[in-house]
Amino acid sequence: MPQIEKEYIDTGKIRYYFLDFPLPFHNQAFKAAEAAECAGEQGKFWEMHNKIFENQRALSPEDLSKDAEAVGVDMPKFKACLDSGKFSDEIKKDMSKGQNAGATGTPTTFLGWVQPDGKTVKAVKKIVGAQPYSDFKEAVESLLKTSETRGK
Amino acid sequence: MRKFILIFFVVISISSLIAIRNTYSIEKCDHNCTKCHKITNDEVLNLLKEIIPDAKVLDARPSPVKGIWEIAIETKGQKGIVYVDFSKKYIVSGSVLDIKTKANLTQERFAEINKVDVSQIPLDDALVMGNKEAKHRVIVFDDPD
Repeated sequence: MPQIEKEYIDTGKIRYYFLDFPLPFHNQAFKAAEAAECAGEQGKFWEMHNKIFENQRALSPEDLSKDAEAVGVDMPKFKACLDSGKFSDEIKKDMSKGQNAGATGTPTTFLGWVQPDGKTVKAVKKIVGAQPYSDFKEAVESLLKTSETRGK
Repeated sequence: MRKFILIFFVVISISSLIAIRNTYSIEKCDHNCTKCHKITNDEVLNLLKEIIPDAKVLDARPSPVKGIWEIAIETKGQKGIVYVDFSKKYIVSGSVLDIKTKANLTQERFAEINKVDVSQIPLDDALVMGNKEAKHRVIVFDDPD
């Protein structure tokens, strides 16, 4: 992710969308997704997201609290949010969007470009599973070249 | 003896040409390959089973190159293209390039079969990073576990 951010997001080449897709058999994934959303409520989504992804083996409620503390959120507010499950429906909605789009595992990445109408995105590539950065880079470069060729 | 060898080679050559003509003949098929040549998904599956055992066959159609089928397959959640010749003896993996236009026809078909209309994915709740005006989009569905 840091490489993608540096090379493609920070340079303005791509716009990056993240949607939650906690797989049902990943027991702690749903709560972790909620934790990132709760931190997001305080403007710290990406910080919490990165923290969680750095420590993917440590996703117990205690670990999530430690992460939240480390990124500097207001802890009583964070805990209240997490206990209330207020983002649960939103995460379920993301999951249903992923299923409709054909995501089966994680991560599932769709690459595409904006259509001339400016509102829709045509995805031309789907990457399933965690792939080496070089594969991702190759896919993005190919996307950039194809769209350049087509003058879009 | 020389005469015998010569006759032998002539007979072999004619037989080979007839065999090739029968396999790849265009005239006989009225320039329509599918009139004479057929392939079913089950046949392809059978041909692929030794090489890509878990492949699902999505589509089989004549390729831009005469005498070769273009097969769209899916394996481990990834869609791809392979080619099978009309004799059904060979599988070809790689790209078909149009010499005149320099287009990579395999890549174009690959993009087509992997096309997903993400306009159907409402992105309103998504967490977003990057240039609002960027024409290229990367949409990631992920979980942290």
